Amino acid sequence: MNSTKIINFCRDYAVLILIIILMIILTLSSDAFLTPRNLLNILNQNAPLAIIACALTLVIIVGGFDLSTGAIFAVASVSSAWIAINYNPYIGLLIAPIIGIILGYLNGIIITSFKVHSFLSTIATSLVFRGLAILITGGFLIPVRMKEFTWLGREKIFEVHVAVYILIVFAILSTFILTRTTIGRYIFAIGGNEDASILSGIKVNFVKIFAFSFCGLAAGIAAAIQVSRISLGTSQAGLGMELQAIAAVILGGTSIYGGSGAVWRSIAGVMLLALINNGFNILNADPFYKDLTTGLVIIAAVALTSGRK
Amino acid sequence: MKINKEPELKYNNSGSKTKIKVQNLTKSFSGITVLNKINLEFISGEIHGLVGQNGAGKSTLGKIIGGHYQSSSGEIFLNDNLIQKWSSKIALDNGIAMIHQELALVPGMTVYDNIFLGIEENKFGILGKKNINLFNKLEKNIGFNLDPNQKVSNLRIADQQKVEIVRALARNAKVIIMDEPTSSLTNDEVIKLHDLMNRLKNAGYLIIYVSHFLDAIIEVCDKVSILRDGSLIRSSKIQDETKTSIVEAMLGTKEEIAFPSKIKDRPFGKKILELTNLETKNGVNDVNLKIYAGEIVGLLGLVGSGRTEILRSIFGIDTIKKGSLKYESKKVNFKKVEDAIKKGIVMIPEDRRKLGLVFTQNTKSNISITNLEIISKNQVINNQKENELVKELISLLDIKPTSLDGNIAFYSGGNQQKVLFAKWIFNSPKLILLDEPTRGIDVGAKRKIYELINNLSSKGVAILLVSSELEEVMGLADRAYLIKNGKTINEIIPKNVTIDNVLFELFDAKKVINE
Repeated sequence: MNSTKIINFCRDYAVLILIIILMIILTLSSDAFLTPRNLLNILNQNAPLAIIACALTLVIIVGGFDLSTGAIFAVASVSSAWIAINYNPYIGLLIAPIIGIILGYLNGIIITSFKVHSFLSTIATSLVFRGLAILITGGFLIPVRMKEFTWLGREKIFEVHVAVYILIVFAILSTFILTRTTIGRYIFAIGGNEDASILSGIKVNFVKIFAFSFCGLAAGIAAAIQVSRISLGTSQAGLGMELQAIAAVILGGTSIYGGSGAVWRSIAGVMLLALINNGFNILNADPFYKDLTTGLVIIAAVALTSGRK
Repeated sequence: MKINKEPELKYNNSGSKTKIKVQNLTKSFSGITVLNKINLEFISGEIHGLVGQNGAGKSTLGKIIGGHYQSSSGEIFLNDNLIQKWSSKIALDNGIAMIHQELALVPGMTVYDNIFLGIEENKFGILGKKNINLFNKLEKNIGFNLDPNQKVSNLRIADQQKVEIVRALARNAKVIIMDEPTSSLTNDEVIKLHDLMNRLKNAGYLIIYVSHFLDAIIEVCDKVSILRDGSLIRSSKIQDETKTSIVEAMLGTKEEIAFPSKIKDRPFGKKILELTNLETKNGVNDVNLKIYAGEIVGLLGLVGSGRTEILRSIFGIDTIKKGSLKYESKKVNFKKVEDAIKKGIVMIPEDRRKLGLVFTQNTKSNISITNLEIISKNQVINNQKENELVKELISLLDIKPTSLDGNIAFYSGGNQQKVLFAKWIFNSPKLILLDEPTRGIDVGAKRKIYELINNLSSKGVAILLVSSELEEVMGLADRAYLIKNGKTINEIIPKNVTIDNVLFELFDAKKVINE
């Protein structure tokens, strides 16, 4: 009885256990690791990815997949930079989340009205969106070196980057939606049993559209932070980000089949991936081994979680 | 109608006789006995019919012999050898094949591939050449005229059934168990199937034929075994039975289940629902019925008669093709389930696991999911209110365990059913569509559900009840309709007629006389 309890605990908290193990190893091997500066740095660098992972959690719990977050990120980035240069840097930053919502909403509409699986339809829309980003830039880079634009990604308040505050607020908001609101309840119900949800009178399409729009919003916010930080709009922004976000969500222990999961899990997933990266940097380890190690850690996490309900 | 003479089967089994004997065979599902100490013998060269009412255990018996279910106790003997381990694989290896009501073919594969699925000729996993000769030999024996390269999904159900039969023969089956094989066949196809069964029999095969079509049983079987409530009533030669004698044995004299007493002749409210000549694509054709507030109306019919489909059409799941649906004396056509729910119609589905409950969620979330608007403000759920509401409903319906975050996947069927009721009753529905409310739950929980249904109706809720247990409908309903082939064929007042009369009509023996 007790041993099954331990096994269940390991399954439920695999991602945290791995993070702790990794932190202990890194603390013992380098003095530079366990410093507020380094830890805050990790948070700051990964804030855009973590924001997307938070919202993606909702999509995956509802039983969907979003492979277009990277492309939405790109469209939002280049639009933001373009408007900042041609009109106003503040409006430029503001436009990114708005574009994110619109594109996410489009995803939702396509999925619910054509009844295609989101896996397929978001692959298609990601191509469309990426193409749109290229059209906006005309194939060029858009540098934006205005202080009014770069503050979002670079400024600090009380020694902590603005991006970290945004991540915290967004994580709390996502958690609140998922655990305390009616729509959060519906998200769990639909992912757990869509047929039963329909028979319960839940507006399944509306909930799905909401989840995808929210995910688009997150990609837009992440884009605003990133484009402001690197002060450069490029249509190649966010390449591969969608896969990293999905890996982080699943790594955290949210069920790939939908119906169960949590926002904190996804953030933990992002942090686990980030720690491996950071470890390589501060230990000056051979970067050739980085992908290999990351892959092995993902396999370890999946092995620990397998059989979890 | 007679079919052209088809070739006699060349392959002959009669050299090796197969005998299956079951002794004291008992089967129970989560505490409910569905087969009780069955003793029976089947010998090759006969068609052996298994008959009984819905839930009598005839399919279960077939499935145990076919290895799909394990018996709870008792022995099975194959050619006088006691069987130690039994599964569908072992059964197949011993020449016993089962053809299910829902066919088990791979739709995207060809006829040939389906027939040899799992027994493909191969070398180290690499498929050998198609052995069309083997197929042709099998084909010739039976004379089905199946095209080996046709995709199964393109075939009609009757032809798919033929593929199943050939598949059984390709595995050298000597015993074929058929579970309701005719339910989706046309008359013409039934005649052909019976012809084939006769030829298989003459070639020395044993066929176990599970069906509730008594005419078919009488026509084709040599022996018939009658089951009732999981017990074998008798097993006799078909010459010694008539349709009436079989039906009488199927009915027996039932132990009375106590139904809660109703207020007699209580007045019903206004008309809630009226269906006129209703037709859908999914097997509802020409349904006429009405139901008043506070009334319990039952739908009586055999499995596959279209009872559930009628509920689905009212609830807006299946679209209405013809006829009209009047709800509260307004003509409506619900396009979406939400619309029906908004108007006060709810459905408690038959399949709790697939359509009713969300197993990844706890009891609280399952109950409150339909009531969130009441317990939330600006879309934010008030935890305290939610807990209070759910606690109230749990104690009102006596759901056990009483904890709010219980894992309903492990609840008993009766308590899962109560959770489903709890979901809906707080919303004060006007019409409840109830599909098999007591399937797979024990007597005590049944009684609770009956009381609940009665209580709801006395509060003015109209209830449309579908159940395979005729006693249930007869005991609960104020009025009932007999359903056959998706049609309402007769209307009865249950307290004025006997179950026997209803069954006689459903089995086509004679019409119910309403008093």
